[in-house]
Amino acid sequence: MDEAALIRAAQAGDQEAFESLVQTYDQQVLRLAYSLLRSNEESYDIYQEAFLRVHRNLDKFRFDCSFHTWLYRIVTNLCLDALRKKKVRKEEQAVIETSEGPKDRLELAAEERAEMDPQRKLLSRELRERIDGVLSGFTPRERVVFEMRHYQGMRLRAIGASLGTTEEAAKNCLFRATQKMRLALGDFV
Amino acid sequence: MSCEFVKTRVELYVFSELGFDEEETFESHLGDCAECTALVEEYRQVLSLMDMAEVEPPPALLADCRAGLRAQVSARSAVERTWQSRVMGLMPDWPKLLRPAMGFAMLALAFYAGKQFEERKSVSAAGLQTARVRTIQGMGNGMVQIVLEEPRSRMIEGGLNETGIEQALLTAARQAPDPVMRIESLELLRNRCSRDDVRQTMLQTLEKDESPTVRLRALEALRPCSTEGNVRQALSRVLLRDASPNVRVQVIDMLVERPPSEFVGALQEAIRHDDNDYVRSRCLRVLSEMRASPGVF
Repeated sequence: MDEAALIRAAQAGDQEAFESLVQTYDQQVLRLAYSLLRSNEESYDIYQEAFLRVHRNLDKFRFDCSFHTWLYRIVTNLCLDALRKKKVRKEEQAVIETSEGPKDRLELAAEERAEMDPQRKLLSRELRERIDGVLSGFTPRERVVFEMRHYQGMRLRAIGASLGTTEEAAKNCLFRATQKMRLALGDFV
Repeated sequence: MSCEFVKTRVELYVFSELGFDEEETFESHLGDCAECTALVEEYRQVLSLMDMAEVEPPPALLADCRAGLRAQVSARSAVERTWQSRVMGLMPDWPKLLRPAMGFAMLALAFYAGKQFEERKSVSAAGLQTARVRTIQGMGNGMVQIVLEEPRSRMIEGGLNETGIEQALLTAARQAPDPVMRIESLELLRNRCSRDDVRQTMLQTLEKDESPTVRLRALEALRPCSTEGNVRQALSRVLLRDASPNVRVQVIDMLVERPPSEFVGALQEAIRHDDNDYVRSRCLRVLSEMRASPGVF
């Protein structure tokens, strides 16, 4: 069944169709929320709220835009709200629960990559702190645009549509974010 | 062309977000200017440092989210059904009344689409194997626009059924250096896995692509043909070899729907060797549901 047929079936109350629709996108949605919020609980909440809103409003979806754009408009709004509520980024707990107990998110990422590339082992704590500083130095919009472009692989046109703005505005956000990264990390390369 | 042109656009160039003409100008300047080439390289290295900050959600979180959503949606639907049953008797059956009109509209639409398709010039597949795919743009109406470099860039435009378009997408899915482009190609090809060449590309991407996000897209596209021989064998290999626990868990979820016999062996091996607790516990649960032994005798 193609996506339009799935949406129509879900609009008509077919639960299996709704579930299939959710499962087409939910990994990407969870990945975005988790990457932005770095918390199991908060990304769980974003996931639930986003797809419940979809379920509640699916009958109002009129195919004026792609379902992906419509869904991401909901998700990015929820993520932006959540990011804005985090007033001071440094107060965030950048901790992930692992089988070996809680670990710093960036430390874990560095360790995982170190297994694949021994050179990564040489990355200093300073660099990790600098990267964390870059992320916290982004405005919520810059953060969302960078995450969606760099990690989720979305085009700026789609990101702009998801944020309810133009491709040009998304481009400006990415431009500023990239300049901030170079300023903070330029002496490491 | 001055260095200033490059310096004011490098932030977007490294994301492949310059327009077609700007990118041409940008790259022709890089060929003549070592300083600007070094600047581009610096930005690329900064981005690769940012890859350190990439995280994947714990595999168990997706399962928790899905279970939570299912429960909430069921509860909501139960409440709605109570309301609907009260008012249903009062409402006319609109779908039945509108069916003849909808049928006529569909017929007219099919006729119009057929005429459009007939008039379109087909795209030549010649030289596409060696082409570099520069941009892919879905046009939202079943059409796609692809820019190729061979070595001069040219633009082709056409439907997914046209050989040249499909070949260009297959090439991009396998070879495009930008993961975004590989993802876009897979998305456009995802409903065409019944075709051998598309399926082979999806399988190759699933087993060999360096990006877990791209591999997950290929895996999702293969779901409708997950019971077929070569796909099942590939899935068993991915379960044992893929570096990403998310990919491994998704493979288990896919195979468990209609488990092939060799799947038991793959699960048993994963229990012995997988370094991720959640993946091992998921394998154990699936084997238990299949009434199969977790050990090898």
